[in-house]
Amino acid sequence: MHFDPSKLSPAEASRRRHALITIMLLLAAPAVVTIADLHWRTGYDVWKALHLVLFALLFVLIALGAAQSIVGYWLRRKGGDPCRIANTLEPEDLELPISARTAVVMPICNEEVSRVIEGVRAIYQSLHRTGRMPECDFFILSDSTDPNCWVAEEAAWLALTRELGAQGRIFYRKRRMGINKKSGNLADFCRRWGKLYRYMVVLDADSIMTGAAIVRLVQLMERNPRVGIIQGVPLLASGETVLARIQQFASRLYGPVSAAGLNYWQLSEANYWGHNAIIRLAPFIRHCSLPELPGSGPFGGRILSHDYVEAALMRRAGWEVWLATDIEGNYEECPPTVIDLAERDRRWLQGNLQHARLVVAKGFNPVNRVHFILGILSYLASPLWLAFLVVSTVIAYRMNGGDQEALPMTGFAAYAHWSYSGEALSLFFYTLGLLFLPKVLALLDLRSRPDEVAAFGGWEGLLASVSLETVLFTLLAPVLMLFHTWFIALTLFGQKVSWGVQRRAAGSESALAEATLANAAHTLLGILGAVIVFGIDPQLGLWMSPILAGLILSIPLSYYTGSPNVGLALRRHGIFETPEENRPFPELVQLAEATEARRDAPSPPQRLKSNYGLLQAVLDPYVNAVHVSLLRAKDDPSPATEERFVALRATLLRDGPDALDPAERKALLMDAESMHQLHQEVWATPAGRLAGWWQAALQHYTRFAPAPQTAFSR
Amino acid sequence: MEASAAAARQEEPIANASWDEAFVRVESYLRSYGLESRVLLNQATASIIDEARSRAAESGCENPVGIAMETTHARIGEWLAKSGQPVDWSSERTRAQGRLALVIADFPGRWSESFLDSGPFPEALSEAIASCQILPAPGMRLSNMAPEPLEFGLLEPGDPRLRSRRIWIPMRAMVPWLLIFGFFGVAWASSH
Repeated sequence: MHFDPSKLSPAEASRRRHALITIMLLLAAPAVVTIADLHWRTGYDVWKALHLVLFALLFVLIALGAAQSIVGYWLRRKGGDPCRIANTLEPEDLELPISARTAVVMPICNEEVSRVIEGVRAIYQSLHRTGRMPECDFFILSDSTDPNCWVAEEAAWLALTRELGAQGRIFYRKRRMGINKKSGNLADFCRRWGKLYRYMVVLDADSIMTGAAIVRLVQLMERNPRVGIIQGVPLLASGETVLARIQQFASRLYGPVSAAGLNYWQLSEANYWGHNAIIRLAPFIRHCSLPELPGSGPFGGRILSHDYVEAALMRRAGWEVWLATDIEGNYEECPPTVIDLAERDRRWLQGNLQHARLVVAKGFNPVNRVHFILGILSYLASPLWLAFLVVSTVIAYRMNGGDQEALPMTGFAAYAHWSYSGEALSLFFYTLGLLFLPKVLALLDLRSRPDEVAAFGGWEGLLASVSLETVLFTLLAPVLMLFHTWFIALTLFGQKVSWGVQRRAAGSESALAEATLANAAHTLLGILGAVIVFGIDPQLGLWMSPILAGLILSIPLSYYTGSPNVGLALRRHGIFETPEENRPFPELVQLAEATEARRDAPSPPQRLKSNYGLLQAVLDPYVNAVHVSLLRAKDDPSPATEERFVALRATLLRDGPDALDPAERKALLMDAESMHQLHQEVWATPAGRLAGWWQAALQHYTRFAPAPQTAFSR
Repeated sequence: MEASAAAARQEEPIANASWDEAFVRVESYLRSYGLESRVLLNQATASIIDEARSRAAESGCENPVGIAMETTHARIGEWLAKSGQPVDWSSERTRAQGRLALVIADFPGRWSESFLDSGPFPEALSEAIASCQILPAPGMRLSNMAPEPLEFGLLEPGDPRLRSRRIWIPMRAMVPWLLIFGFFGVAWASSH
């Protein structure tokens, strides 16, 4: 069914939004009124009034998710929403030549270099195979501050362009100063090269898009000249740990229904998620530069979470923003461990909270304000939930004191013949029903798609996976609740979060130490909570046992859900299988093979590891040449500057890289003359005059075997 | 007295250990260009060390590693000069460009065995060096991307948008919500 967005009336958009809110209210109102009645039966006080408000807020969020799923399910049952951006293409559009110049940009910052490069390789080759967009350029936009990443990126980029014959097609740009982080990185690209291109496809370091998906996005933009941004819905893929596989299973199973529901009410006022999207560059450059927020502190200064704001600015300027729910071959990876997930949430949370200021900024469309509010509530829900649990415990404690008892057969009980506990139980099961409704609807949606069921590994595995996913997410939810609450508190007090240990490979001994360190407080809180709650009322303890169990078991949960071995073992047993695992696109296969090969690559000696980038940039003749060629030549450095560099070079040679601070090492790496000099000097200096670190570094290049030891050896 | 000491020092042979170190250093450096053949590595290194020894004897240099690496760089410059590029290969900056050209042309994978070869420079490599260039980014076309300042606060009473129909249409659509609230309100009022 063809769809023309220009004929979409504002009234239709309003009608859809009001219908969704009506469903949400219909779902939420009975629960809110029931809990109000329950409190009425025992007599109101401040705690109960607060409890009611918290319940209402949290329940409205649950009801919104459920309403979206109901609408999404209903739309998919009747063949899909006609108002989809993908429906705007006519068959002849697919054959038209594409003349629009497009840049595929990947902003990176201290990412795993081989993953970035293999991702770009897979996407570039896939696009090349389509033969549709020979004029498409790729940009790796680096903000890496770690010299190891920086130097590795340069060499890997050059090797990639050489291997693919893509000189002049795949570019690499490293900023000297990472001003304004990712948004500044993209803005820098726009300022320098934005005019060369009509569109920009924005990817994350862990994104994978097939060439066909990129071509389709460009075709959609060409067909819809009023559209400023089309956001694809990336599926999660390439996960190996239990947590990653749960997330990709859940997003694959529940995502399509939920996305259909999202598109139903967002229409041309959708959101931008920061990656896996296509952007029309001219309006983006003109209207989407991010202003600073007035004031300082957590709610002022530079806008941290840029994507929502850019979508709002695009809409403010009159351009449409659409969600493309049905573009295949659009993927991203997900955090492999609970701690990675929490770390990512910490970054997003800080940015989302800042949007509170923007809710009341003039000129934004109401739907964009709703996006801001929902973004804030997605994290604020955690402290609200915690407060709800605490207030529930206080109420139970006060009721247990014997001064409050349920009034017999009053309120709604007069109609429904509910006992007090019967009414409470009904509310509990209604809440559970609403929480599980999206899962049930997603499974019902699959009934008419036997092929997809097979791709998930069949009904048996699918139902077992949903059950296990429900159990694990139920246990993990309170852990994330405490993480979010803690992050919000720290953000409000302007503090940074640190784990105190370096991130290590999942499943290793250090991963256990990290899980213990990050979750020790959660475990203690869980034990303390259990003692208090069971002490007040054992029945309340049983009600809260899933939450308390999640907290008490948070260390083993965090460790085992972050284990690739357990994740892959579950896969062998058909648990959490997804179509992407069973019938992967060639691009994902290519990436998986490259990941496998990467595991076998020898890693640098431990002693040299922390400054391996510097080592290569100085010693390796080719890496040195590439690095120097990418540095900006200084015209005429002052004598004082030269003197400083001479002293730094002398210290580096004599005492090794640890004698310099990171800024000094970076300064040397940025100075072309110093890199020329160091390349000559290190190779030409006798070992006795070099720091032990350099001797080890040179040994690393020599790599001859020691003489065999026998009785005659001296 | 001083002159005789200097003469004695000049005649004193530099310890073999220092030349061993110089040999290993040169060999490692050549190997880092991708030359893996032990025979070729050995030949090239020995030849460089021989030349460095002669130069050390002539100049009285006491740093075998230093003079050996100096000789190595000079030898690489001479070899690169055979590519026919009209540049001064004795400068480290130019040699760095040469190394860049070699890596872009995939010298380590395709021609490494001809490294420092006394024979003619491979023609294909010569062409590759002449044509290759590093292109980290296309030519810039600058745009002005200035942020528009934000204003805060809700609509003021005199705002013309308050008079537009669009802002009042949604009020009519709120009727179903009022019905829901009304239903539960009446139910509550009649039972409590």
